Amino acid sequence: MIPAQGASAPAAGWRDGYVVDVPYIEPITSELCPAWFSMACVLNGQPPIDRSRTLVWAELGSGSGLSACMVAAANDGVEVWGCDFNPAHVERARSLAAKAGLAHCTFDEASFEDVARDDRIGPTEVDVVVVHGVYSWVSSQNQQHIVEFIRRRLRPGGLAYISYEVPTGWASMVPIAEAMRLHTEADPRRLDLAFPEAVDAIHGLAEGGARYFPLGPHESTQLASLGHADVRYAVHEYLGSHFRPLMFDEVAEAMASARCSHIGSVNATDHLKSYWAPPALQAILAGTPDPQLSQMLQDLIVQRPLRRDLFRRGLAPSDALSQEGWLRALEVTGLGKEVRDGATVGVAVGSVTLDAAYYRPLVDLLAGAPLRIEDLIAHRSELTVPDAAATMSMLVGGSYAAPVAPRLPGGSSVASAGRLNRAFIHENRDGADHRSLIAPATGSAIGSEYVEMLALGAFWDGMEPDPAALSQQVLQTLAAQRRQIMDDGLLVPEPVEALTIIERRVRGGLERLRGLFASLAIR
Amino acid sequence: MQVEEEMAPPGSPAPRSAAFSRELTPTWLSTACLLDGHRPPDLDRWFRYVHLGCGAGATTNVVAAVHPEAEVWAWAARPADLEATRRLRDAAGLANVAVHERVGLPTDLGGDLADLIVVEDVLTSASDDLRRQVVNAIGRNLRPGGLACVTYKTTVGWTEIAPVQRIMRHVALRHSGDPDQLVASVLGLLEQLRAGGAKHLTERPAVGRWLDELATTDPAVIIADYLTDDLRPMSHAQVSGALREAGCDYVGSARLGDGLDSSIPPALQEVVTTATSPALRESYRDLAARPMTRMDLFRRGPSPMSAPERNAAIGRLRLVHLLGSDADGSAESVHATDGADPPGPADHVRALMDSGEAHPLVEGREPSLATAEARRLNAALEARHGASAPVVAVPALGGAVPAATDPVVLARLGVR
Repeated sequence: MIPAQGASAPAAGWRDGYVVDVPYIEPITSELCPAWFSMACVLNGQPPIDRSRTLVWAELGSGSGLSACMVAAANDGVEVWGCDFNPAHVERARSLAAKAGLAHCTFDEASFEDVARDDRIGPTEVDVVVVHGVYSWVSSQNQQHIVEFIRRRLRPGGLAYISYEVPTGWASMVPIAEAMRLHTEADPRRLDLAFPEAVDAIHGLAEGGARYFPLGPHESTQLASLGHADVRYAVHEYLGSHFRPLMFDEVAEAMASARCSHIGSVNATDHLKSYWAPPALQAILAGTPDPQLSQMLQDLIVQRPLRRDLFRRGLAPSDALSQEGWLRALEVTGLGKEVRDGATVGVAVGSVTLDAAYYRPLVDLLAGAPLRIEDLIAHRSELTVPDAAATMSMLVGGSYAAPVAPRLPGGSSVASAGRLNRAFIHENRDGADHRSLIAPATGSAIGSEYVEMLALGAFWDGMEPDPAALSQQVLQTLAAQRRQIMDDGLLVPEPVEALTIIERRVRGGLERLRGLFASLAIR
Repeated sequence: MQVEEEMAPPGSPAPRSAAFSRELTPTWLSTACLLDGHRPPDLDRWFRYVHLGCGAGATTNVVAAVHPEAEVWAWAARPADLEATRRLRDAAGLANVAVHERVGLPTDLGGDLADLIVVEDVLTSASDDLRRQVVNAIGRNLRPGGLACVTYKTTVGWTEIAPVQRIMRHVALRHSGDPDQLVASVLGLLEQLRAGGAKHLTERPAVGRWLDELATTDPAVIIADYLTDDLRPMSHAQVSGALREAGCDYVGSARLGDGLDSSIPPALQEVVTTATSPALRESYRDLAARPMTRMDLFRRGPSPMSAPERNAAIGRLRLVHLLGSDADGSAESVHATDGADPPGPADHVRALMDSGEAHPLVEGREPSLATAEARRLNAALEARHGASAPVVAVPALGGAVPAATDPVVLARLGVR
């Protein structure tokens, strides 16, 4: 057979061309939650997720399980199941779920082929399938297994989320990735130890005048960052045998075989074409009735490196009235971020500078209570419903707000999220590097600084909310870990100076979090 | 047998390649194998040449015409290619060419074991199934010691262009207007996108250059090359990995200039030559030189020659000057020297052949050898192309030379 792009030979053993000797990083992707997916559905003209009954949430390739645990902990009425073929990942995910006492969160060690063929593994019918960050890393056979799982298990009206690298922003990394993989294959050391030399060799080629360089703009940035990238991420991204960016039509056609139709992107601002496409290109897109072509042209226009697509098994009937009703039901809550002068929000191409005079009052309103479309219109009477929805999208896209998750009577999400937060903090004391807090109000997570989390842990353990005392405790924890605080990119070894920096951060963090504890139900 | 299903856009595609490729002739491939230090196949006896991806048949029929003692078997995925090859064969009255016109690639490649299998630009546009079939066919049908040459579009050359081509093909397959306007419609869309600032088209120099070339390319060629099949560029590691499964080892490039130091920037020669594996070396070489295509030569079963043995064999090569007459009036000149330190002689011959200055003679043939088969093919080529016929077949060379070659040289080579 012809090996996949980048593969010089068939991958041996159970790893199937995938990197398994280096555990993947432990990221939390806060958008991978029911409320965010609901908002994406509504912004793209489809109904939100039906939360009137228990939601079955499946993640294929769940890695270390943090995002799955986040969904299980922060949402009422959700059954979460994850699978991964790497036993180290499954052990880790189960351990975290157990530490947080997540009764409705299970993980199976199973390959994509296993779950595609054996209906006894995992739930028989699911409402949401999440495939995050693996689809363009696995072989075409495994891609078919993923689609087969969706075909067999996804409930009519259910959602499938797939993220994948796209050639319009990744293409020129393909030969680079292959060269690095070939380099590390000839190195007997573990991949994360061999990787830096492979990167150096590529930089050496570029500096020596290799004609393949310079790469495309996004790829140039990627290459430049490789030297200081988290190697646990980088080896998975580049050294797998099956790394191949995919065009939208390839994925859409595969999903069509599972009777799933594309809804749109989960990126909050992608549907706002007027924010990122010049008028001439908007006209081309408007005159393109073929939805697959339209998506591919959008990727070409923005040189998109990554797609985060939401598909629905059967499109719901939709008319202007029902769409407006869904939009009016959207609700977002503030995340405690201020609108600074000149603040920008990233969109598909570049960023948009926010008009502080317009957005600051809205963010002030968010500090008091969640907002709906009618609240925005009440504040700015000139807004139409679509205008208000666009404003809401920008607030979410800029991390000023997040969609609200429904809380059910008798729900336990506040308690379970609290247990998961404590598990994160305990692991941080043992040297882990969590930088998120689970927030039941959004059914997802918010970012938090490492120092902030250590201080919060001390406070939750019973210390008074005295920044000086909490900072002293944080400093002791860091010293026990043989870690030093970093400020402006420099390590601060001197304890007095370090304590000053820590105290500044702890004060700021506590002030920020104090306001959010109630609104986001963080305990 | 699996049948390749092909969705075709409206319009009239030209055959995939109308051009003759000197690098794909038995003489050239055999010489390349020798220059890379491996024992070349024995072509003194009857041999069988298989051409997968025969295009319009120029190379196929030249090989048949200059080797009437050999059996040539041709296949292509496209009907237009097969028809063009068959017509040229019939026009030249070549009895030793079999064109496989049934749909699908037969597993036995039409008969006996092959001494040479050429796969010309097939894999780049092939489905995974067809790729497997081709590789399996090589594994089953190439004689031990035989050569396989695989040409393909490279990842380094085409990776940024492939997404644009995919969109072009997507548009073409759904084109419902006037077929004659197909290419104009596709190119018009790209031009609108480019003018409007679509970043993939404006911020990547390789894509920009390619779009500029498209604007002046024959529409039939655009349909054939970009609107009919997917463009799936490949890397050397992919191809050599597959051929290794078929029992074939990489020998070198049939494009002889690729083996010269001058093909890569001087600062990179050490990093390329000291790469820790052959696949990594070729990967670095491609990054260094960014070739748009590769012509990889493989041998079924390695048979490396010792340096003295190789140098002696190179010393026995007879090369013919193609760019003008010699001072002594002889058309034949032996450039290779024995006894020199390798790789001197090999690189010298490489440079002469790659530049088009010289071409090896078929062993045992006189430079002025003329044959009826070659005469008939040259007449057929002239009839096909008129006065602008691109090449003339030369039996002494086991190949062809540009029709614009110096008439004095052509006369010495028994042509005209």
